[in-house]
Amino acid sequence: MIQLKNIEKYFRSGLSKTYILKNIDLTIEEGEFVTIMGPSGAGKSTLLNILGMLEEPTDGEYHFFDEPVHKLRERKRNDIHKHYMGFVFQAYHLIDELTVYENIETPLLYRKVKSKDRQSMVAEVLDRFNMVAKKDLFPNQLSGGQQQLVGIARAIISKPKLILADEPTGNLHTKQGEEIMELFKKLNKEDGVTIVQVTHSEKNAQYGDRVINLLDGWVATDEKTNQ
Amino acid sequence: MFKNYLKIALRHISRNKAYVFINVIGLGIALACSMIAFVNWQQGATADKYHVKHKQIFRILANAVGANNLQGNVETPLGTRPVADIEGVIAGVRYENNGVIIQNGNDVFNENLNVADGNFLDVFTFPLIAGDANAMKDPSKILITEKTAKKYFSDEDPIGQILTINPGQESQREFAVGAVLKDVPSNSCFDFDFLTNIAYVESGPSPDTLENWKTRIAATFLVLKDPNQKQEIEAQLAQYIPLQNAVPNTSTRAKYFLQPLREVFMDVDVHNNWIDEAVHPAFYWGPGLMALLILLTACLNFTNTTISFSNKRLKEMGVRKVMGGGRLQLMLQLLGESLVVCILAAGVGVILAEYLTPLYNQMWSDVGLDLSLDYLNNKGLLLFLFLAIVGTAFLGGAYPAFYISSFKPTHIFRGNTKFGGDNWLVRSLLGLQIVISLIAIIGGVTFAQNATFQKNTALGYNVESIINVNLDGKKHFQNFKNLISENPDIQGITGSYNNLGFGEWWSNIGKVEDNRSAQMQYIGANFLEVMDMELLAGRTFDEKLETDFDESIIINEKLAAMQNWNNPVGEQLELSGKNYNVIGLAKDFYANSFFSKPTPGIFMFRKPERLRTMKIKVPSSKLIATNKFLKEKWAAAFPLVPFSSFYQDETLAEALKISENIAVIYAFLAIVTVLLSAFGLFSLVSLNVLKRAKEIAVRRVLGASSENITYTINKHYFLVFLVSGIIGGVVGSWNALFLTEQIFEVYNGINKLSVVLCVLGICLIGLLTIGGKIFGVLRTNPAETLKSE
Repeated sequence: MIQLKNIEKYFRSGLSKTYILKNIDLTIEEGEFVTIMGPSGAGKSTLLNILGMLEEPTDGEYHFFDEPVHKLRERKRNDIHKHYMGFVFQAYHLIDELTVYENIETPLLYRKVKSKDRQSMVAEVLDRFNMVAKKDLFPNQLSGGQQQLVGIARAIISKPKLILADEPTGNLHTKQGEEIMELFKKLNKEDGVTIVQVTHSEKNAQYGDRVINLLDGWVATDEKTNQ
Repeated sequence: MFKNYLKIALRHISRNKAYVFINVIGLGIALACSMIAFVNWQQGATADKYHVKHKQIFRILANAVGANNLQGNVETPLGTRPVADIEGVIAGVRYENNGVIIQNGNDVFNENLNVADGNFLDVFTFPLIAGDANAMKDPSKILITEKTAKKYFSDEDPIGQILTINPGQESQREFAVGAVLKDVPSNSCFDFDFLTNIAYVESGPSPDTLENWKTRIAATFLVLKDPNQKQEIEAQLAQYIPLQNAVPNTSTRAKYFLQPLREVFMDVDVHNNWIDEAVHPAFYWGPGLMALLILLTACLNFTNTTISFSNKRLKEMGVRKVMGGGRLQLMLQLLGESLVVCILAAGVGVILAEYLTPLYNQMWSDVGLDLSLDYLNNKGLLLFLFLAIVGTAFLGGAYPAFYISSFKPTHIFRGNTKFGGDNWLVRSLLGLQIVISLIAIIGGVTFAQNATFQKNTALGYNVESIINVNLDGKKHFQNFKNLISENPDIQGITGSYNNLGFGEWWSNIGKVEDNRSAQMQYIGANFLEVMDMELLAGRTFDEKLETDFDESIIINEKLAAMQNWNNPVGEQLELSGKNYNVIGLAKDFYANSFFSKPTPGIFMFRKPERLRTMKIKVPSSKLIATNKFLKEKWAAAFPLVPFSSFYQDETLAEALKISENIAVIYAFLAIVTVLLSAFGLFSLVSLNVLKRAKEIAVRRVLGASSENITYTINKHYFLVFLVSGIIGGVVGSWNALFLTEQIFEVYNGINKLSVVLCVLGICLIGLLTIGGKIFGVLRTNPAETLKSE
């Protein structure tokens, strides 16, 4: 599904280059649940953003389903981004002015889904996440865990092939975190959604089936979990 | 999608009430002003265009040999001869004003009876409401306007009613109402209530005036078959010059010109423009300029506050981008939100305009301004409103939309994006607002000072304590003078033919080729004494000397200077082919209020029976009481002639009114722009403080004083104020001076101290705005800020 070849990301300052990512070769198959770990500043989020096409690598090749992303025009990249990917953030990043229902609906609007279909799709997700009663509330009326649930609901509403999650439980307490991770696992196993998450927590990493450790922009280790 | 955007726009609006309120009000006021200015401009732009044949109609103008001023009154045969002689001239119409008394039952009114050739209604378009348009061709018929019909006959059918003109006088005539015409639009070069066939002119004591090169008539229009032939026909009109110049005792014509009808209304430079007073073009573009300034300020404020408040939107934009929203979609969303604000503003504007329009009309009631916001029938206005809304939304919203949607979501989420409040664009927009505010303030102050200056400037004659009584008929002067002389308040009585300060009367002097002209004042005995005009040399006219009526003139300094006479008394001056002796030299005076500088002037002596105005001098505290006394005496003596009087100071009224009105408009503009600028500044400073809350707290913990903090945070704004204060002062002075120069020839100019005070004033407002915010920040405990970080 994803193939990174010699991906590099660096900033030039004067004559020297400051590397954020260096020499990343990585293949992710469809259906995998990958965890990216590493200390602060190791380049985890940058790697995730590159995978999600929010950032461009300075160098290297990125193939997504055999499409050479690094050669694509922005429009086409946006298309792939729009149709295959869902994002979950540590800080949820819900739109404060929109209700739960409208937040979940937003990605569909950008995919030009018809109004009727939108209604049934949102209703289905709300039902699945047991949030029907909260659909008219605004984000600031929800707890952190609930907000993250909305964030995930929003990420999966358009049935993406890949979910990219940047410390999805970072702002949550343990119990809520566990629920969210269970949900990811379920999505991965039952719906076959590929998931790439960034986390600091060893425990969360165990929900997935592969852990990539980054260190100073390098891939230090890449191993299967005990699962 | 659209619903979603609208929803978020409305929620955004409801959560930023202050931002929306200020912008809706600001833009609303701006749009209201723009609409009024637009309708006002439309009036000027469409003046006289309602005549179906307006493109073919031309007015004949003439100038004297070598003279550079054009005259509006031309010889009567020019209305008929060219039609017969020149190919391409289809018709000619002459038009004239006559002051008459009209009797209706027991009531008498002073009215203007306008006369025109029988084809007047064929050439000009004045829709008929009742009766028969052919009445224009019938000398026994009179045509009246709708409002006149209401005034005289209220609900009765006016057609066939009899109106008596000049009752009890030799010139008494009776007319039957033949037709009722729609009221003349205020943007017409004509202004009549009563209209009759031109034959009326010859029915009086002077027959044979209509085909006589000696007589001139207020206006003559020619209808050309092809307007492009203007030049050729103009050239052919030259054939009449020898005919006219052969007449003795008239000024000599050099050339005849054709002026397109649409230019007549606003041509203030034509002398002897007796159809109706022309309106200065600045009257039509001036308000537009001001409205544009308000609109610009409101837009700048809109842009500025949108950018300032957009920090709140950044996260949303980032999320939307990650969710798959394209940049164009986001820009459209943001522009849509601007549009919503502008539509709300337009709502406020439309309501406001309803209130402002009558006020504005009232301000200019002297000009007969009659603006109305007729949305249903005025397609131009609707189009303007639509364009104004869309244009404002775009102008105010485009840059923020472009800017906010440009950020990368990863930057936004990381918090790297430093945004809002402080960038050079926002600061220069603020600076521009300050400049506009200063233009408004300086304009207002200048015109207010100008009004005071003009009020205090001596015109060179008595304006404070003179009552003018219009005399109608020949014997009134002496009779009335005898009747009122007993009143002890009356300090002096004189009279004049034309009226000093009200209208101009130019005559050519000297030989034709000299190309010189002067303003004539035809006066009665004691005029200079009663009017407090100073005689510098020689003597005044003497009633006992018969020759003074025929051979003597008094001139003013300007004329003496023009003739290079150091000692003018005893010199001779040629006027219309006849020599006059200069018997006195008078001090210069302003014959036309402040609209022109003192001009060369000539006083000629007239016998009492030829005077049309009696001038009565009383102490200025007794003006009203004496006027009442005069009215009673008049009513008893001349029951058939309505009493009509006016105070001499009305000559100043127009100039003062203009100065004061413009000062009021500028004051309004100043209040709006200053408030908007202050709010814009406040939101910028607030945002800046918010963004730098942590820095401020840390600095304070490290021991920075209040002054240090205030300076650190606001040093940019100090610079903005300094720069825009200088620019605003210069541009504001220039603008105010330009406008006064356009309107007046006699004016106060710019008071430098006032300009400096204006600049300091706006800086003070800015300082207070900043200070108010900073004071709040300095009162909070820095520990609180740091805790919440």
